[in-house]
Amino acid sequence: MSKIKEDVMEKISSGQVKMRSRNFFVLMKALLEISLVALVAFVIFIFNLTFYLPRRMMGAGFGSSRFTLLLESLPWTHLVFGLLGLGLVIWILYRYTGLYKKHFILIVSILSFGILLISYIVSVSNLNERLEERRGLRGLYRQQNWDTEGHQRRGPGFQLK
Amino acid sequence: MPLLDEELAVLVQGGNKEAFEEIVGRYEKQLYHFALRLCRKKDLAEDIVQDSFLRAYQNIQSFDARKKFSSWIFRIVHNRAMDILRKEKKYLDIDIEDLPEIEDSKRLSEEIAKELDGLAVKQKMRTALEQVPVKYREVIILRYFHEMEYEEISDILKIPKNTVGTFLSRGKAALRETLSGKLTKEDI
Repeated sequence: MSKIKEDVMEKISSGQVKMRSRNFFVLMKALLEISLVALVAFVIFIFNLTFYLPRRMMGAGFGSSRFTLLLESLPWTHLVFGLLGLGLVIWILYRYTGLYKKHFILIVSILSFGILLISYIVSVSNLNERLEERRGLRGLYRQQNWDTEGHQRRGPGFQLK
Repeated sequence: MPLLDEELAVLVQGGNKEAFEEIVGRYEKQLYHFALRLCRKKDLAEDIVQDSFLRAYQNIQSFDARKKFSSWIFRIVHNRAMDILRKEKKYLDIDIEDLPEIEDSKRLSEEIAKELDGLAVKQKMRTALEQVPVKYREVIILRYFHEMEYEEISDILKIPKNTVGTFLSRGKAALRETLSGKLTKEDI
């Protein structure tokens, strides 16, 4: 018997290395799927906000060009978190599913388009108006519109000088 | 008729340790050569293979018997070797003499043999292969030394099949370039 085989079988026979149960893997798979669904929901919600908040601000904007207003009102933090979340979704799908067999650019395009489309649809529904009234989520909408001294900002993003 | 690897894996899932011993016997050499060509150190290659077999045993319940067992176990060795290569850049300082002769391995395929036909450069080729970036080298090793199909390489490295082809072309180009610089008139 070779050294590798001998060492491996010795560790297995002596019980130093034990087989993990099937339930462990079932549980891990379930956790991964739940996390993935939650992450996708989070990304959709965040992108929904990046559509919704500027639109609300721009509706109230005067004086500036629409482009300037868009830049000022764009929730950059949301956008960055949304993109990071989207990257994580793609990474998980590539790492843990058979998606790596497909063309990378195509998959990224389809996933991004799908998520953005759903986010846009959510943003034009009345979901945000309803969520905005909820105590736990109110800050997420309000913090974008008010500065620390209580003055209303023009938009949720940074101010262009 | 001997059992298929996948059938043995199912027996191991049922608690049969002898079946796992049979698996170790079947894969030990090829996994060792694969690991050795990646990490270039005998001791390290042995550790990688031993550790990979132990991980395979621990996680055998996650193996889906409808898939190829060889892809699954090569994937484990690949992951382990990459972890080590990332951590230990020092292993890139190679010990060429540790490497087995190419002629002792499962052979270069006809394709690459044709491309390099007439060149008595086994030693130089062995050295040249070590200079090919690891991601291309790994594809060359799996394709020509272990005679795997694109599909299986794709499953082991978790990259699309067309990327396997791209890596292979780039690897061969790098190999040719390195070899052409190393060849002397005496070799040709």
